[in-house]
Amino acid sequence: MLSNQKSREELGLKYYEQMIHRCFRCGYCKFTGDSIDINCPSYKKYKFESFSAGGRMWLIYGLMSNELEWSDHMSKILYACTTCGNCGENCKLLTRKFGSEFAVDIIELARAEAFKNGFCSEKAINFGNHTAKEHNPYLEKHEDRLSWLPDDFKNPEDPEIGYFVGCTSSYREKELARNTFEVLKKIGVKFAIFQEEWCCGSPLLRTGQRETAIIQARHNIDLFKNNNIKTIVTSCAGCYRTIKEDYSRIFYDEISEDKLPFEVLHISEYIKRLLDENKIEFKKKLNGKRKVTYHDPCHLGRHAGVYNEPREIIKRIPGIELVEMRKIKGDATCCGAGGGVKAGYSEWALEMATGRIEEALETGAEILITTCPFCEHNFTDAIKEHNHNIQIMDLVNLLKELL
Amino acid sequence: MNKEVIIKDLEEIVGKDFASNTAEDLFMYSQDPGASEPRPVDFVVMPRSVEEIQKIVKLANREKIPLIPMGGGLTLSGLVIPIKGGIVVDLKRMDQILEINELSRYALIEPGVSTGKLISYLNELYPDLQPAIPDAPPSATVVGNALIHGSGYLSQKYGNHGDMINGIEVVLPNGEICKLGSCSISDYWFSRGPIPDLVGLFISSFGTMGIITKLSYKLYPKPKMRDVVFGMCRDPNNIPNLVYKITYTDLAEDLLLSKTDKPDYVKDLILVMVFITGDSEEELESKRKMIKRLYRKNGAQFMNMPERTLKGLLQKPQFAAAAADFRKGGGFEYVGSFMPLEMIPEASKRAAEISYKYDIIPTQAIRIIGKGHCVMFAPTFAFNRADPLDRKNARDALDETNKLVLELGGIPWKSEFEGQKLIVEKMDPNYKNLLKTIRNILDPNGIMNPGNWEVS
Repeated sequence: MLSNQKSREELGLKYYEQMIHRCFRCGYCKFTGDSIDINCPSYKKYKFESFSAGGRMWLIYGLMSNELEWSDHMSKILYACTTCGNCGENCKLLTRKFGSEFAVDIIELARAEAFKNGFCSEKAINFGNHTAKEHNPYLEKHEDRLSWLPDDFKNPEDPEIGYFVGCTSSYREKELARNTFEVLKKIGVKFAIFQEEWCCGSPLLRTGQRETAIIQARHNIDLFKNNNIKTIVTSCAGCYRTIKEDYSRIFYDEISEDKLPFEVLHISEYIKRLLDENKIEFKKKLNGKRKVTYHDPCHLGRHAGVYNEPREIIKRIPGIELVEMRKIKGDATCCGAGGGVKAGYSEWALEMATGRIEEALETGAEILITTCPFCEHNFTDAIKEHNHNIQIMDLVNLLKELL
Repeated sequence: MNKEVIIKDLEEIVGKDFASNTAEDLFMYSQDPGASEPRPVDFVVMPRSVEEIQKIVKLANREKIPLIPMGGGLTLSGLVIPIKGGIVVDLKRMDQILEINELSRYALIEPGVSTGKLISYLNELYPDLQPAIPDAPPSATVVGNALIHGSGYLSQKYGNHGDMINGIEVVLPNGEICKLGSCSISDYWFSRGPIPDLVGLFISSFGTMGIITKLSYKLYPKPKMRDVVFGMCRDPNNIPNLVYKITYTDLAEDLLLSKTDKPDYVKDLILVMVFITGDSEEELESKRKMIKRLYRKNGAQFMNMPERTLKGLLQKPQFAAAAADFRKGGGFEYVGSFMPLEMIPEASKRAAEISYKYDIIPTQAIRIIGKGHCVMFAPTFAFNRADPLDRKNARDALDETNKLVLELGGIPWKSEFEGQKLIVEKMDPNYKNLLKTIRNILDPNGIMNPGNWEVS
């Protein structure tokens, strides 16, 4: 606990008031681990110091100490960031003391202040308001959330796991939802899917709309608790990060001794576990030898440390050769979709996705695999724009054919 | 000054995205992590080409507005915070490594190339070559460091980093481009001579003479193996002779000393670190033995250090920024000073007294430059950025230490402008006159980082 015994949610940015000025602005946060490349998407794009994580720390401190005021430009600086976490990953000074999540956390809490002060974008406010009513940021109806689900599916009475589908898979990347459903069926696990599932809250947390996010989160926690769900499996890296990391921090912070009352697994962790326990196996193989590469989604990788599970699964697939990109794991280039950037800066998001696809093409891979529908969505948009000769695929979509 | 006209002109030169006068962008350029008070900035601009810089210089002459060239912005002593307002010219977009000459061992680079980038580039493509780099984060620029007479890695063996400049291309204060060194005659940027050496005029001049747009920097053979032989010395009076003897042998790649009074058990000890290199373990072992013998014979003793410490020291660059948080406050500055070796014992003792006077735990770093021809003596002062009084306290300690350094025959290094005034006060009058004359000729409108090296 940095500040005092009040909760982090209650304190907001003040939670960090005794440490935020300790950023020396040494600049490690801008780079990859080996310093060869600028890996902060925002600094790479805008170049001014203010658009680096260190710059943001200084500006936020300027706001907290009343040396600066809220403005449109301040808002742009705070929101033109994918919150990819490269800064926390490479900060050598404060991460050592406060954990790598501090930088993104501070930026998100500052966005909450921006929202309160009327400096959140209209687009974000619109999807926030819609989520409050219809529980998804895609301006869709809640009643259509499970429109992809076969009519004859019924939740078992004693489910072993709950599949948290998430808004992107429910409304935009329905193939992932269907295929995760199929994979879970093939595995033979008793799983539940809830029409009452609401948005995990990620887009709202990332854009500073915490109050609505917390309502969504509380509903979901109650839903899982009331249905006696002990393990949640997500196929979305964003939902995974939010439920596992944000729900824990918001509702079960350092003051509370309670822990999140269920286990949260990304589908890649779940499958890897079952493969290790010899409970499942690959029954089919791909035609011919396929060269693939893997993109670490920020929310699964840097934010949650899940780097190896997807790779281990890919390596075990018969007929697949995994070739790595130049920048992987903690140094992975952000796809550009996160942190509200896809909604707020769509052209820039495509630029970043294109950059990452070019890194994938350098490997000679035919398929770029990811484990996040939001990354997949952004990559797919970029491919449509530039006609790159590479296929984008979620790991689950590949597994569906092989189990 | 019509700010609306100037920002429009700047936007026209570099593009709308790379010129700014918003409060937030200027806030970042109005201060650095050192103890200087923030000072106002009017504009920041990020050119991408020499031609753009020429146009910015012409604009500055037309408007009589100061220009402050900036690299990584990590000098800590406010050298790129305008003293009289003006346009900060942030050069980080000019970040191309233009040429590596493997045989003549130099890198021709633009001013925005970071030390991290150059090291990684060489590691990947020229693994037998290495540059000298400062004890600064990898975002420090190679050119910025060389131009402030930097020191750090390889300084013992090859001298200060300013001496490693083979030549420069500079946009002069009148907007003309000038090449200095062999590049003014030849396609090869391999040497500063044998012609009158004007490059020196641009080193440690803190942007007052022009904007450097290309620089040729010497590269050195990279040994296969490195190690550090640690020693400790209880009597500071033994240090000059010990350093003299070690540098005499040519064994040390680098030679560093450090002293801190916390924790208590290290008080009154000076830690000696001799960096050695070799192509084999046998060679390293032989050097270890010789260094240990030198320790024994010259008032020091060998000591073992934890693997973690060794690993940290062998990093390139070393992670020195940790010192910035000694007072849990993210602020840090030091009086790096060029000193004659023989003055180190007295300087160390008296600088520690100054630290105590200002309630700062004495922490000093001493780096040998060029086989002991010069020593970089650095009493450090961490402070809490959130506490204006603590910042002022550090500034007062810096000021008193600057005076001590000058009294003992040393010269404060990359000194903040208050320190520069102290240096100028002590400077030979004819040197001052020459400096003033040259500046007036080169920069009649006084646009280049005015307030620095001002001679009345």
